[in-house]
Amino acid sequence: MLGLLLLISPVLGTAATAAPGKTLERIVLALYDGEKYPDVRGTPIHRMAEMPLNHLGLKVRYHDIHQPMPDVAGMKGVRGVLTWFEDDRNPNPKAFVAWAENVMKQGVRWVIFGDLGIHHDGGGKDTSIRLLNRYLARLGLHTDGRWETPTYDIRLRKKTPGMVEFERAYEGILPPFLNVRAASADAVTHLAAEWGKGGASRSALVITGPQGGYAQTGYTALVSEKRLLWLVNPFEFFRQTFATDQLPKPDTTTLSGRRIYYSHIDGDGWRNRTEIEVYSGKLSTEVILKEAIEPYSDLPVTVSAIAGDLDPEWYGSEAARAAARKIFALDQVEAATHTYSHPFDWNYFGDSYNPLEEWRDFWSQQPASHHWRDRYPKGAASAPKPDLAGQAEPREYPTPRAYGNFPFDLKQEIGGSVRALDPLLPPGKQVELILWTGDTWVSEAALREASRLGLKNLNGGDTRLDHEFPSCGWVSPIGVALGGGLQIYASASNENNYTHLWQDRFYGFRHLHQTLENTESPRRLKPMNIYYHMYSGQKEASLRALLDNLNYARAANVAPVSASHYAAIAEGFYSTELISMGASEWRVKNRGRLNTLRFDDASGKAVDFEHSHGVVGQRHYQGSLYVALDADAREPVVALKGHPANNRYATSARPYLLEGRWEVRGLSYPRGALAQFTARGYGKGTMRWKVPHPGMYQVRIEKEGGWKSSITAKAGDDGLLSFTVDAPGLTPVRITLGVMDEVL
Amino acid sequence: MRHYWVFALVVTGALMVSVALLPREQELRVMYMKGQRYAQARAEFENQLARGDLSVSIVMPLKDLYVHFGEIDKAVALLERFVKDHPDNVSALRVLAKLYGDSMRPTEQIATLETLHRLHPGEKALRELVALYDLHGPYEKKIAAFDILVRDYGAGHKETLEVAFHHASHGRHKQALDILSKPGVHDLSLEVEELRAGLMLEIGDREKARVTAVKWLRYNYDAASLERFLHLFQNRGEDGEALKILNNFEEKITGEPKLLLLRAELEMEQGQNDRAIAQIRDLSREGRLSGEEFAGLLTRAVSAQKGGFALRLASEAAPEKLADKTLASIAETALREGQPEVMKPLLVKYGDGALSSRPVLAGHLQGRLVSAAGAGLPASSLKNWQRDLSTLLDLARWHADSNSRAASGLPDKGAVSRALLARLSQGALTDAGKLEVLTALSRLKVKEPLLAHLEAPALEQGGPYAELYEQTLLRVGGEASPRLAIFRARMNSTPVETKRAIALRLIDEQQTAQAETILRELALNAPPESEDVRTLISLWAKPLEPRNRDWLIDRARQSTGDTQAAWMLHLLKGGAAHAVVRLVGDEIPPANDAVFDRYLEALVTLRDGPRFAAALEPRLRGPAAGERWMIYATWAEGLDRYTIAKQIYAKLLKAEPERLDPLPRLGAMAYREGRWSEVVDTLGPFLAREAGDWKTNYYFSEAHFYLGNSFEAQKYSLQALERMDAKPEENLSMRVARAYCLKRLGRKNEAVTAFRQLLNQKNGDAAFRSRMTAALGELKAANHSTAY
Repeated sequence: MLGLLLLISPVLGTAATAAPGKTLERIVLALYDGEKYPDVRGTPIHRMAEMPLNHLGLKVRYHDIHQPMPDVAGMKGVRGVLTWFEDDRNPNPKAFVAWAENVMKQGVRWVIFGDLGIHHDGGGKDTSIRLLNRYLARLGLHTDGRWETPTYDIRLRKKTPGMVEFERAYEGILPPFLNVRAASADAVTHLAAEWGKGGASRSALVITGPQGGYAQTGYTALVSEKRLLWLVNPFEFFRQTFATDQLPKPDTTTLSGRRIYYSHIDGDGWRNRTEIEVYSGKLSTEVILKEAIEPYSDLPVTVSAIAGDLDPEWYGSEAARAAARKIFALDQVEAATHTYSHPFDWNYFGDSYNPLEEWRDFWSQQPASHHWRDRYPKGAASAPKPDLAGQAEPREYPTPRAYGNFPFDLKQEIGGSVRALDPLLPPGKQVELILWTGDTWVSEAALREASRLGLKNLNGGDTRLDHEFPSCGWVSPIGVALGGGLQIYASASNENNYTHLWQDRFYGFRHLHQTLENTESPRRLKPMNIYYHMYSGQKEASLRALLDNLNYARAANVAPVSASHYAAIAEGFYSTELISMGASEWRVKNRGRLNTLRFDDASGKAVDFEHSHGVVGQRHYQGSLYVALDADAREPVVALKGHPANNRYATSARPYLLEGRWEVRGLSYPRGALAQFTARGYGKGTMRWKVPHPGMYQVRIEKEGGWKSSITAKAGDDGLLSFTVDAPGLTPVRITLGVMDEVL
Repeated sequence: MRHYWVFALVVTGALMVSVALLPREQELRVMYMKGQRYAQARAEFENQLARGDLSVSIVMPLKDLYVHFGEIDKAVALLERFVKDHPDNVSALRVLAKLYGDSMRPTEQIATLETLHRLHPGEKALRELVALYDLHGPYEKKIAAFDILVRDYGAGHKETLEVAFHHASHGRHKQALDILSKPGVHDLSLEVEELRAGLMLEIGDREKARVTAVKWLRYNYDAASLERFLHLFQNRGEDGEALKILNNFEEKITGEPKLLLLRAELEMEQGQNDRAIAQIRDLSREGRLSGEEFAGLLTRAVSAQKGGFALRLASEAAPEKLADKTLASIAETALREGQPEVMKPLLVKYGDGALSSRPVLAGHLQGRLVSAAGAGLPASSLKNWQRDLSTLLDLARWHADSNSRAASGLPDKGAVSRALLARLSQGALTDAGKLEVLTALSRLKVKEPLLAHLEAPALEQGGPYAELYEQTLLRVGGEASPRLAIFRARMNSTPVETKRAIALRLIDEQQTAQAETILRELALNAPPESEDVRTLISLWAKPLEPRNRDWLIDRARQSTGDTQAAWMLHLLKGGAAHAVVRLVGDEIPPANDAVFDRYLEALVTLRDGPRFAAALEPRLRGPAAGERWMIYATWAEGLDRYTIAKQIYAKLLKAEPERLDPLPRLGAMAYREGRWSEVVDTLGPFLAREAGDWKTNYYFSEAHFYLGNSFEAQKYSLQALERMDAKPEENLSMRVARAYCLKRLGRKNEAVTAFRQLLNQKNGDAAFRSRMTAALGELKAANHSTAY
């Protein structure tokens, strides 16, 4: 074992590795101002920083600085602290600095983005320079407390390529900055300001060191409601400041070595009449069924309906219900709910929700309001009078939800909608998840309710990365942890965002390609996701755009999964624990359905199959190593070894999966066969294996019930064996690989 | 007869009326549109377009129809065609710009709006451009657009401020000031007035600057803002004006110790020492002056060479003990000012801790004191001199001074140098401390060891480090020193040819990392086929590291057409096929042939058969000829896209019937699929004119065998054997083929030997064994006079 450690430790260089048996810290504690941001989803950390942190394998836990700071001794699993304050006040700077010092003394890294946030206390009193320097000392920094302004004669120097000017050069009016310099030789300045005669005066603007880093406000990113652009490279900055090189990354984008694909439909527009000539008189839903679902049986799709659209007591019609039955009957369709009444503004239905107010303001003139009268016989007159002074801001939505037949009831919205959909599902199928509606800023209570009912959840995020949104600041994190619940975000935006909220440019969804490509390369940030509404079947242009996207997905090398499967993988990101077993060996625990670990900058590394367990394959891609785990292995062990970087495919005495469309599990090497495993998936089961020797191979395929087939395939001199299992994969197939001869 | 004529007239009249009532084409199209029969309307408009009608009445409705159907590319192509014919049609340009925007083609959108603005200058197009430049760059164009907005249209506050800032940052202070006086600047915030005052100082109008500051502060006073203005003036050496500003707010600052201290500092700078000292004394007495602030002021006074003030300050006012470092600075100042006697009372007051660790300094001081009584300065004690940085630096200065040799009992120059180098190696110095030590070592004329410590900061930070490094290199190797040349090569002022020569020399000397740094700079704007680029790429490992790959991607992105293709080729050779695919982006297939080839090549490398097929498919509809198509076919075969390969070969043969090279490939594909007649039909003509390689002859032979043509089978088996014999090496495939050829030829013994050898070689392969054993069995059982 010692020899092994000595052998493999050079693979990872001289950086410090965790002691064997230690659980690797994956949490970043994000401090935010809860008075400015009542909901963490609005903070710049969540909007911009959390995605790169997720990509580096880190998950974020939020803490409001207006609440008591966490007990230092109890910060188990915390790798580092991140602050991104936008103003300079702290309720108690002295106590905060003392707490920060204690935290840093435990070896926790500290990263300051933006303002120090402690220049003044809650009453506006200045913080002393001495206290500021106490705060900065452990980061190897020192300040004289002066702000340099105006900045027209400032020159920016020492720009580390790849660390700064990531999406935009520093141009225009340079923001004022705090005069800070490195006080330790270990601190590395990546961006410095210079001024005065001959550049005599200098200040550090972006700086990293062994304990963390600091990037000054105005030099990190451009953040506003409608504009996001990174100035610092967040992947590189956080990689260095949180020292993530030795941390394997639980990856939610990849399965069986391929990019994950999933698709989901929100039920909005279920009852819309289509304008497409050849389908004149039909519902949009029927168009989607005929054009986008039925012909694409190789691509899974999760379809959700708004129960209010199907419930005859609300707005349901027989045509709408018939369409639902047909859709849910298809094998490739997974059932989901899109709530009962489609809330737009979830905050409206929070703790301060008053049904009478809702009725008074929105529904009292509507025909369906008779339902309310049954519950509120005294009518809207008994509702409290509106506070006109408090309604200065116009609402984003004309009504807080789509349908207001009954007072809002969270249990009805979620559990009730599931019960309403159940009769429309074929035997054996059930509603698997809830797709959030409207602004998707759902409450903790809603998440809890969904979880209680065993439903996965999805939506929110609105990822885009294209010419109109040219920043990875618009790529959402995997989800958000709220209270004890997890909201999982969709991986791409729907057509609403491409069509100016369904007002024009109805072909806009075709531009989804750009986001799909930009979130694939140079880094795979997201799985491929086609997310749309039923109303895409309403217009010629929108339907074409949708089909264009589906054809793009069909031609791509992806591993299609259902949306609930993806949601489970995403949940696995948060639950995964990584236990260090040695310099290059880790045990993976509690990963749920997440089955890929990623190692970055790993062209020179490969899986050491002799010392690994529960690994079905590996793939080098874009400089990273994607390790595919066996879904049947409860706690896989991944060991790595050195690998010559000019050797495209790492050699191994055993066959391993390079990439495949289906999920592979239960891999074994029985006598008389090269390998045996079970596979399951959508479409044809194309896969590529790396086998020890070139030559002809036989692939035996078996399904439960006695169905069998066999094909032959050839592995070339590179040892790559490609074959396609042309059998329905929705029920698992057992595959056995064996050698056969064939020379020519 | 008359009835007949009447009848004819009525019919003719009726026909004429009915023809008149038939809708004409234009009316037909409108009817379809109004009736929402869009497909038919589109067909009608397209017919008209095909007839060459490019009028507005056709183009615009057809554009709308394309948009209705989501065929935005067609809508764009249509408008491009129209604009090509009507390049000055502003309305059409506007429509085209919008279409480009809707299809997310910002480069073309910007170009179109720029054309629009040239033809029809206006604020609307300019503002659209600004929004696009803001999102996509370049910044220079954005600021130029702002400039026009400010000058001609009255821009808003933010834009005006940005233009002013831009001019200011380029030293055009007067221009910036003029901009600030435009009406657009309506929010006279602190930032704006601070900028205005700063610019006034730049152009030497200090009085106006002061008036600006005071005027603003009168209406918006707060301590922080006043402090900001004061720093502004102070940083620009206008302490006198800063004091004048302060004097306007005398009453307001009485409760602000920070501002009072700042005033004292300004008074010190202006030589108003009495007032400054008095202020500080008051602050100290009132407990409103911390030790840190006092020491800070003392230090600034010493740094500003205000020795007299510093000494007086230290003597007259001090709330608590001075830090050792500060005390030592005062001691040095005292010596410099020729007032060593000042130190005696200070040392009594503050203790001699600092000086006891600075024995050299203490020695100097002692020598100059009138009386040493009560001071007890340990001039000769140098215990732990290596550990104390101040002492080390003192000693270094001592040795660098020509009189230093006269002193006895001090560590020698070598020991001091070694101690300083050790401090550098420990790495615990601040930036300032590091520079002090390096300077001291340079003054001590240390050479090689100093270079090791200087190189990195000299290259990364330049400035004093670069100067020291260059001086040291000169001392070490003289002007002809290679290292000096390398260093200078990396400096901006060196001519390009010299840098190139140095880079090549570095490569010869195996210093590739340094050579790469120089070459990167040289290659930055060079074409892809240039020597600099080729040399640079030759240094890179394959597959390319991300930074090298990204470097190539940036070059490719900035170019088009054949040049872009050339960059793509570099990427492909570097193993970055995916990057090439991304570069092509939405334009699939690429219009440029060279780019198209590179794109295909990338897809082949990535083994992306579906995309390869999709890219090639449009071109397959046209003719295929030339070597390029042979390559495409070979690629298609490599991706197992045999249908496409066959299509190409068939087209090639149709275009060039005399061409032979597709035939063996078609024959091989037919052989793999077991279509023997096709093998014969394809390879026959080929082998009639060419000798063919062993495989072609073998396939042909086998095909004849399966078709029962034994004579032909034998003939070509023999030819296959002859080709094999001419090969220097034999792989497994060839050996199996040889065994079968021998079998076909009836050369039993040789065939048996060959099969047995094959059996022995692949012993563990059961199926192969089975096949070879069967062949052996056939040989033994058959009548070998017929060889089968």
